[in-house]
Amino acid sequence: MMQIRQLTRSFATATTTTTSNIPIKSSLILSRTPIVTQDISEFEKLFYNYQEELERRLMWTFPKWFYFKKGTVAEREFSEAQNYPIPNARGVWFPQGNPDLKHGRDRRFKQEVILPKKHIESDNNNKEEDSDNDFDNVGRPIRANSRITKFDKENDQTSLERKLPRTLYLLVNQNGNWKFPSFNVLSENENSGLHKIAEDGLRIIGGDKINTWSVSNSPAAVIKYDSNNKIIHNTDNNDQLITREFLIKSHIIAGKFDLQKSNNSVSDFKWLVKEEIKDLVDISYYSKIDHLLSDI
Amino acid sequence: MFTVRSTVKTITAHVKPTQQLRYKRDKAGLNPQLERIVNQLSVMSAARKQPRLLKLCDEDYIKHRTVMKAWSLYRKNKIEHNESLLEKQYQSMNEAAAELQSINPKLYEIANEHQFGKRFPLEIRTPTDFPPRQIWFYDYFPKVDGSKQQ
Amino acid sequence: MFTSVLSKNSIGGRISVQTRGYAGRVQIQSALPKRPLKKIRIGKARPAIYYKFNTQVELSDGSVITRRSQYPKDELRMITDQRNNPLWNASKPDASLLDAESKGKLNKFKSKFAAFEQSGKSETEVKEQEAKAEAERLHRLKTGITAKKVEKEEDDFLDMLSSNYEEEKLGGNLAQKEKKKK
Repeated sequence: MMQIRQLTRSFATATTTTTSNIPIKSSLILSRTPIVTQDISEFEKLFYNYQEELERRLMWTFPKWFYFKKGTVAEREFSEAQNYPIPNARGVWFPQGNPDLKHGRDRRFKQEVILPKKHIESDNNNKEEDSDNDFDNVGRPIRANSRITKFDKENDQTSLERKLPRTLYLLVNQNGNWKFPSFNVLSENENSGLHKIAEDGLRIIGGDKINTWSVSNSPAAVIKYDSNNKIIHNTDNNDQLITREFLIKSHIIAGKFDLQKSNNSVSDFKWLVKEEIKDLVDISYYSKIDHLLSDI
Repeated sequence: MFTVRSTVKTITAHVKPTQQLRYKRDKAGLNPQLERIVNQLSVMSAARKQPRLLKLCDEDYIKHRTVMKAWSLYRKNKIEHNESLLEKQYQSMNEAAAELQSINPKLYEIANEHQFGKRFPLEIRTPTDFPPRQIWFYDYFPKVDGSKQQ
Repeated sequence: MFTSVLSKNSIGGRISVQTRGYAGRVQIQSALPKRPLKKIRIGKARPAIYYKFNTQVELSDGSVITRRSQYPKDELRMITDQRNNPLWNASKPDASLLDAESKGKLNKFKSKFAAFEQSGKSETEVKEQEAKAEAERLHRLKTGITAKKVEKEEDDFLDMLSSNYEEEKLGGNLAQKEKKKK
């Protein structure tokens, strides 16, 4: 078997058929890793809150004397910002039990340290203008950006800036089917390996202004198609007409996938999360890639 | 029996202030050296900073146990799900490798070459709580020498 | 052979004699009295849980993380970190420039050598350039991207100054001298 294959290889240099006459394809699972932390479920939120409260209750008293020198302005500002509890006194009845104060903290409860506000809150009207001029000011207040972008609101599925807490995958409409981009392995480019063929193919259909990092040279999975382009599930069929599609994993680091007009086979592309992929692709195709995609 | 104040009194006899102050520092209270000693002692004496022990009543304790059990079940399910995913991924990798070896040994060889000096890219970032001002860098231009892969 | 150190214990007021040999470890008695040991019974030990604040940290590119810290500050801003360091930004062509900008080095340099740049120009030209540079700088700080490099707009006088200059070598050849000594 091996000898025959090697023989055919030596004769097949001029033609464009694959060396072993078995059609092989190399496919690329290109993912964009999450940019913000994952959304946590309601149960997780409640549990984390519970743990936080327990820990706050058991925390030691804040050592004010360690961070603020006595008699300084910082110390005075800090002290003025605090809401100190009422100390125990003789002849006073406390309905919730007698306070047990040590270092200005009621030891029965959690301590709430209030830090003095540094910035005076400006009006909401000129907030937008402020942010521009304020850029050189290192002491400006922190304004966190929204976790939901405008592409989320527009549901623009071709954008890389959507669904920030999730992993996005690149899907293309190749010959009328939504799938991961796949490329034929020919005898000319066989020497470069599956990962290189997939990466180069991506640059042919999506332009070369993209920076990717392939996880490994070796494929993550294989999908087999029969001559009618239907997925075969049984494994022990070694027919020559079966097309084997090997999936290579890769991450996008910078740049963008810019669909090239010159390419006819690919008509559209989308960046999707796992659930959206499930709705879009064939059921049989999804059953083959389900375990390769990340839940977050 | 043994408080910070009393020890400070005993120590003051030994410690001489190295720096003589011109004014009597009424507001500051202690001189810097003594202040340091008080600080150190206060840091050491945990009892004064510790809150009281948590004493849960029976009902609260049962609630606490329920919460912790629910959490451990939740974690366990999650871990099991992840492990089963990893198992599946390993199986499919194995299958793909075996398939590749049987139909095209040359590609199989290339796929299993050791990748010397391959590192995880530094540019893939740890997720943050809130996104940066510029979320994605689009204006990437490939390097002239074309060495995008290490 | 042996030296003895007299020390007074401040609690008991009793006199203890400390001896040491030359081979032994030096034992220095602390000025502070020993704390009376409190016996911790089994199951009664409590961990030290220090007070911690939830601090919001803004990284140099504007992303925010929350971390717990003992330091009494609820907002922190990183001026330089991996988000604008060239090593972590191989794809961005001018991260080093961004780095210098955030530290204010570039501004300092420009203010120092502004006179060179603006020689032989009218006032409006200078103002236009300044406005343009300022807009570009803000854009850079905000997005982390610089406008693409254009061909040099004016011939550089600073370059001309250094064109015919040869660095003077100080000191002779040390290696040869040493050889001669041998």
